[in-house]
Amino acid sequence: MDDHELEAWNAEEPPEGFAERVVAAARREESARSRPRAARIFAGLLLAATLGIAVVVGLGLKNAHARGEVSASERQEVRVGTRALAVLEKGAHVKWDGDAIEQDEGDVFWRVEPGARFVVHTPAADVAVKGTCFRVQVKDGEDEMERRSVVSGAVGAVIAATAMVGVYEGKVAVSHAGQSVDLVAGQSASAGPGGVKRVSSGPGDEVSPDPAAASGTEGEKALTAANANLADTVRDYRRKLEAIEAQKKKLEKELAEAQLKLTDGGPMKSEYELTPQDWKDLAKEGELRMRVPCSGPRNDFSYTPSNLNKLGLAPQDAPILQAAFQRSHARTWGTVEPLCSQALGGADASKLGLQACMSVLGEMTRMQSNATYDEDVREVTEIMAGMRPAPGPGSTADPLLRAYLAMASESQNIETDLAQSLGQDDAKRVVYGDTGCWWNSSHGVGPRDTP
Amino acid sequence: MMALAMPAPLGTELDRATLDRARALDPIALRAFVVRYERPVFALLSRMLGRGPHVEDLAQETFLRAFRALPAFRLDGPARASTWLLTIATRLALDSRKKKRLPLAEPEASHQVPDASTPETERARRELGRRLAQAAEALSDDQRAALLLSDVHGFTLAEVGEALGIPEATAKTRVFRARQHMRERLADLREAVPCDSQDLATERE
Repeated sequence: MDDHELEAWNAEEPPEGFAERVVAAARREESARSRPRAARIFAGLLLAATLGIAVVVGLGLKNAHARGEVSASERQEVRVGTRALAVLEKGAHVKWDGDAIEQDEGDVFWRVEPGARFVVHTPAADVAVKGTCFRVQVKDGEDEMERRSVVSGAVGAVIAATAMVGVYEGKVAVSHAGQSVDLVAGQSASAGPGGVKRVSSGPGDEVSPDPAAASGTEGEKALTAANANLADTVRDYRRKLEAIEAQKKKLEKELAEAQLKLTDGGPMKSEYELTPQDWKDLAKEGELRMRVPCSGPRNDFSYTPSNLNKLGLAPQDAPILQAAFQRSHARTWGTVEPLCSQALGGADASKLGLQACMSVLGEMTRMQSNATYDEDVREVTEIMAGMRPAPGPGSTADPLLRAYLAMASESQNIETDLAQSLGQDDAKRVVYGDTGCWWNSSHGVGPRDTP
Repeated sequence: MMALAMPAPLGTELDRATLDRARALDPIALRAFVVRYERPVFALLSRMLGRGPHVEDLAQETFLRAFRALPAFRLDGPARASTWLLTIATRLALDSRKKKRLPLAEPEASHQVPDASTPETERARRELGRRLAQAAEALSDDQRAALLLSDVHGFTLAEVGEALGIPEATAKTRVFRARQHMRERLADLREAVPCDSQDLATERE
């Protein structure tokens, strides 16, 4: 069989027009990429908010003109110049020519984009802002006023109307006849023949119905009620935006975690895959970790084809694993069994098995002295860290120490064993991965007492 | 011994001038890039995952990912455009198997072999193709990828290791095992198919 014949292995041919489709998709992607990144990532998420904001901001775009005049027969949004959106209630009248903006009647909600000074002239006052939301209601006074265009500086002499101004965001200056009041979000003021008066509660409060503020004219009451409605709307948008912001943060966190995982190229290192430095750190803390395969007469484990595939291995690798597990058991049991038997006064330990024998050795050492047990654990971690030599053959070191040492060394031993057949990467996946049957144990006795 | 180890020639790479223009995302050069490499990409993906609509989806994703990364691709670097692109395709295929648990499609009883010269040859090749796909089904995904990259797409063992994110020695083991497996599964074809002197276990550097 040659390479030509190997090519007979079933393969799919690219369909007609595939290249064109790919290039078209790439161009679509490139054009989407030119949009702001945040907008792309959270486009779906922000859709609802965008729709909401569009009610306030977007709808006026179609009516954007440098000069115009609107008398509202019903609620109407209109773009005033390039920076402002006015929402006129029924009966309101607004006229503008470039930066000269006049509201001589009715109730208008203004949203102004940040930028240079923006002034709304009313019969009662000038309202100057720098990027904000506010509402102006112009109400006729008792004396019918002569309606005419009002130009800044010539207003006060002719008006007999009042203007109510409520601020939702930013800062507004209401001025009339040399008198000026600065308002921040949550404040409102009235301007009329009696001058400019602050009528709402203090800074930071929402614009809301205020009995004191509303105690005057019907106009003031109406404005207060309207303010309350708008305040509710603003609160609602804020809540939605806060929810979106929280969702955005959550998604950003998930994205960051996914990217980190991608960069790392896989799952985090197992807590049992220990380098000499890891062992040194554990030695400082007085913690011993051991991981050995479930094998031997009582704990035999067979890998299924599915388990093998998870590990990137083929079904024919199963005997390799099986044999390595048996060798691993022979190593640990070869050390532990005689120690266990000796601890039991020469009894046959083969009936107990590895785990029971380890428990026996641990308990018997503890019965003799807890200090000996702690010392054994610490010594094993220090030996594993290379901080002290391992006991040689025929050593009379404590049985538990020798048993723990055999167990603690075993994950490295079986990894080395498997690497000879499978390669280093596959061996690590087998020994430290989540697939298979492994006996993990850790023993923490705390750091050594310092003199 | 059968000669499964014989590498298939990768063919010529796209010329440098076109690659340069593709790096600048010139649409005509991008199209040339796709046209040059679409066949090996489809072949790799369909052999990894079986035939079906998912192959075209992943092939498109392969090229789109490549386009995103093309501006950073070093023309003077160690990787050829073909090995780089097939590496992307391989990782996508392995990911899709892991995430979606895509089942391997059943080997088809017949498929088109464009260069079959006679009906007998075509039948024989069809049967061979089916047997190859069937035998490869029993390989683990990683082994199948290693075999395809090495023996069909002409990757060196170092390139196989690079593509699969494993050391060269591990790649060597995987390719060796995959060949061994294929040889065992296709042992009965020895009589029917002429052998040459290539050993199945021969490694290329």
